[in-house]
Amino acid sequence: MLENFFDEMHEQNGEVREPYNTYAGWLHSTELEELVRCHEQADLIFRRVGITFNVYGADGGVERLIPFDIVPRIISAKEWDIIERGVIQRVKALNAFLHDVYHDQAILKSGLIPPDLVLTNEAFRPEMLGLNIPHNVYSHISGIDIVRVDSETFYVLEDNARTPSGVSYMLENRQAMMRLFPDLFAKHRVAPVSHYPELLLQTLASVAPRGNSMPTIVLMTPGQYNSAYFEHAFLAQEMGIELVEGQDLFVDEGYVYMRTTRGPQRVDVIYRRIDDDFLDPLAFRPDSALGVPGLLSAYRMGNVAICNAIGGGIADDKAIYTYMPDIIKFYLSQEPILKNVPTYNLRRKDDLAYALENMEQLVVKEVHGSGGYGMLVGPASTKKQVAEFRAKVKADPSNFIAQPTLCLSTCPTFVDSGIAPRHVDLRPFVLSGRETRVVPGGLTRVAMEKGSLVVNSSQGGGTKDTWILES
Amino acid sequence: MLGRAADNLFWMAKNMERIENVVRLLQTGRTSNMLSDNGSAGDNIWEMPLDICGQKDAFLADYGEVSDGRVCAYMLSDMNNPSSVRSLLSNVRENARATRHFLTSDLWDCINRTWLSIKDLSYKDIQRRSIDDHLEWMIDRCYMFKGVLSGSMRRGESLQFAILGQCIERADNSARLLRLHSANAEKNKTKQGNLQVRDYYRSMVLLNALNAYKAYRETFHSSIDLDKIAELIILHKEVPRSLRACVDEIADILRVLNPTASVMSEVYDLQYRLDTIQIAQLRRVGLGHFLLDFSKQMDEISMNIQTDFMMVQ
Amino acid sequence: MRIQIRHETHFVLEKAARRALQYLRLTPRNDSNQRVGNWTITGPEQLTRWIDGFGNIVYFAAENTDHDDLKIIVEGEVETKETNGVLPLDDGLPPGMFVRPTALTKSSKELDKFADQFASSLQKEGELSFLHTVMNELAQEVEYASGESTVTCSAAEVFDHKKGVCQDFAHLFIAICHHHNVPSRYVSGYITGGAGEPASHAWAESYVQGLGWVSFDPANLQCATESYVRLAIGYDYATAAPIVGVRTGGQGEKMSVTVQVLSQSQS
Repeated sequence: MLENFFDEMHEQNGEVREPYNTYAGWLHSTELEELVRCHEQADLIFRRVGITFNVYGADGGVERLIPFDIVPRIISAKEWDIIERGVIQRVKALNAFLHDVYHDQAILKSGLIPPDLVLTNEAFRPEMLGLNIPHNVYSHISGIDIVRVDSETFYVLEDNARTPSGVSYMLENRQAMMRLFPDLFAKHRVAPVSHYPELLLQTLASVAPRGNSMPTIVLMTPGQYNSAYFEHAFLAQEMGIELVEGQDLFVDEGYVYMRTTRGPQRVDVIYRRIDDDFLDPLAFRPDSALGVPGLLSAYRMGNVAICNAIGGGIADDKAIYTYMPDIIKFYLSQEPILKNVPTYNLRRKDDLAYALENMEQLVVKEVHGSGGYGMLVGPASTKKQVAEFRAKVKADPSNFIAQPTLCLSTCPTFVDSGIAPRHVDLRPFVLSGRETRVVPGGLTRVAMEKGSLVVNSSQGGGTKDTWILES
Repeated sequence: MLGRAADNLFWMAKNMERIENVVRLLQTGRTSNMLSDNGSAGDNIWEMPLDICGQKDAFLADYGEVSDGRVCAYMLSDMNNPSSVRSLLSNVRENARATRHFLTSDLWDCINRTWLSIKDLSYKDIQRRSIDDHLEWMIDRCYMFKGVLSGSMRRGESLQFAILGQCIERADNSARLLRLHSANAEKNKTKQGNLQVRDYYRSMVLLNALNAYKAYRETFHSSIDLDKIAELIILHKEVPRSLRACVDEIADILRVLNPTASVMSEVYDLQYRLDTIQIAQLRRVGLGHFLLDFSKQMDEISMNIQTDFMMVQ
Repeated sequence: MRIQIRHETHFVLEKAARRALQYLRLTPRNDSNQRVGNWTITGPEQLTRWIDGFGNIVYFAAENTDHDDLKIIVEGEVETKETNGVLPLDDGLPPGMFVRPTALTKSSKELDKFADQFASSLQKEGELSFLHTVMNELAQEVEYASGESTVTCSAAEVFDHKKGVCQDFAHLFIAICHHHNVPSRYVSGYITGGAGEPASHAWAESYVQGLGWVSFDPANLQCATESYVRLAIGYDYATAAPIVGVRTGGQGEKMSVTVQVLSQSQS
């Protein structure tokens, strides 16, 4: 089955693809034992630095190591150029869309998007209506999930405009690889990624209220039991900012302060890694102990920046996703550089009928689901699972979209049986503040199971270092 | 820095110090077990760890009788015992995890590795490998923690709050041990028999648990006696585990952190008391009484540090 | 009509709280139907004014010291107009956003079934007539009774018990309208005249093509008159509540409310 897929390293005829020329030679001349040794050493490195991922509901302790693969995903400068321009374009459009949706709603009035798709969407936050925020940027940190199906075609699988995670793996994977394979880096011109925290810090500072040039920035985490806590601590440390929880902050006369050993200190920018619902118990979920009572008041008064902004979820909603090409054209008057995966919008009768008929061949996703939960991969599912999902879709079609099962590209991966192809995707991280920028690289996620197309770390996926070769 | 982070660092180091204290006590017990005299001494040395951490009732409810093996099991690996090494270390790691980004990777690595080595270790596993080796290894890890803490951390607030926690725990432990020891001595005074010898061994237990035997010999050049031990442990600032040394260090750190903090006055009070006290006089008012008072004052200071610096609500 | 109102909310605690934080939506909106003058809020240690996404005037109130007693007093004057319930407002909020059910306006099978009977009214007689029918039938179906529901009861739950107070009626009304895709929203405010005592009150507004927002008070079987004062609008009680709060510590809270109309005169 795997031979039908585009492979990142080899052409169909077995020839090595150009970006892998040097690496393939090295791999070929390296003994398996040496790879095993490197693999074990990598495992040790990650265990030592404590990179763990908390899994909800997993038995036997809450921490787990995400499998790291020692074979890099290599992308040529030319390929990266497309991706880079494509994701920047996409994020600019996403931000323009968000600004519009919470202000004039021109795109709804134009009829390009059915207004009810936005207005009745749970991700649409009335709390944001009429609020002006610096540079009109809502999604300051965006993760755009990209898959590749052939040498020419990249699809955007999903936009993440809420609190995309995984960037710490991009950084740590690179560090581990540089320790493990210094020779390989000497032979390749791999674009560096380690300045990401610096760019992130600049981005956050650029959206401080009233252009404050020396803002106090904090990273707000739900706490150490959150699945991405390691990343929160890591990024805070890399940027030299405080890692705060809701209990560390309070609101006083419209400003946000943190409790420090020297008394209250004003906070200007909050890089929050906590969902909208938990930000302010007075405005959102009243049972949330994670948030800061009064935060929304300070935010709406323009006294604090929240990154990403509240209400960004309306842009990465899977139902809105189908309109992304139109959104790009509407706001930027440009043709989309990256394509959408052909998507069946199950609100439409024809699409629904087709999807119900052909569910065995389709990937069906819940509109609001994430992390690989609430989704059906038709070809990899049992008849019973398909039947169950069909019933769910029938009950509430507008809650689902369907896509053809994509021929995700594969990349050689170190597994028990040696080196074998496994499916991968790519999540570059786009930073938007005064400027929109992206570091050359991203998180390559790999499905470690043979034939599996689910790359989510919560579902057993692993990660790879992603090399963008400089030309 | 964040008040909550300071609080975590404070507890991280405090708990690590407590681990060392527990392990030393167990080590001392194991050593005196080897002396035939002790078995008939009446006061069971294995009750000390339970008394020190205030877990005797809980222990008796779960384990029935006091014996060396049971106490070691309870104090090393029982997760139901909040003062067991395993429970404490799990807390240390949680504290460290919550403030990961304030720690050097060396320090985190040290804590994390220690935890990974014992987190799945049952008492049976420890027995299989040798209890004494395990205790010695634990002491090594405690020293490594202290070494990495003071050797790798920036000389900033993080380090200072950690050392504060360490000093407070250390002072508290010394005071408790000395109090227990003097109470036991009091109790046994009336009994007849081989008192001299047993007294000697009991005192040895105390000095070893406080790692102060050598210091005693160097300071006094004379035979072991309770008054002198008390003087050493309370007043001699050159002994790292003496109350005086701990309180001085606490005062020095707090002065750097904030000389006008309200807790300063209590610390100065305590320093003044230690300055003016005389051991002979203490004998009259009651050593136990003084030490109990001291422990209470340390608790107060500890609480005030939390309100002054950590904005604990 | 010129109405002078004094509204006092008094919290008493058995065990003192260390801290209390609240959002207060207790300031009438200034719009073409009502003009607000000399409005004051007093009581909490600290008050910070802001405007929420619905355009409501909100105060963030903080009481940062130990307290077992907290009073919130609002007082001021509003001049209202009689418009037969019609509010030709352009408040910038797209009516289309008010067909989204929330936890409190969520319907149920039974409620949907009840709502279905109004389909023909909507089709044949138009929105306005439909809305009046819904209001009237709702009053027949559900009994006004205090103490039978709480502010966390959803429309569906209230419909099960068939008993509720003004906010329940508003939620039910909104849920039925949503079922027929008629934009409807929640209003919190005061009712100052008529048969009963002056009181805090809640009703609904629905959007009628060509007319704009029209108010319906299913608890009193009428459209809002000039004796109604609008404080806040929202999806439901939770988003328009006059007072939402969190507290650190404290136990045994009792709340008493008095609404007084100090004077009322035609202007």
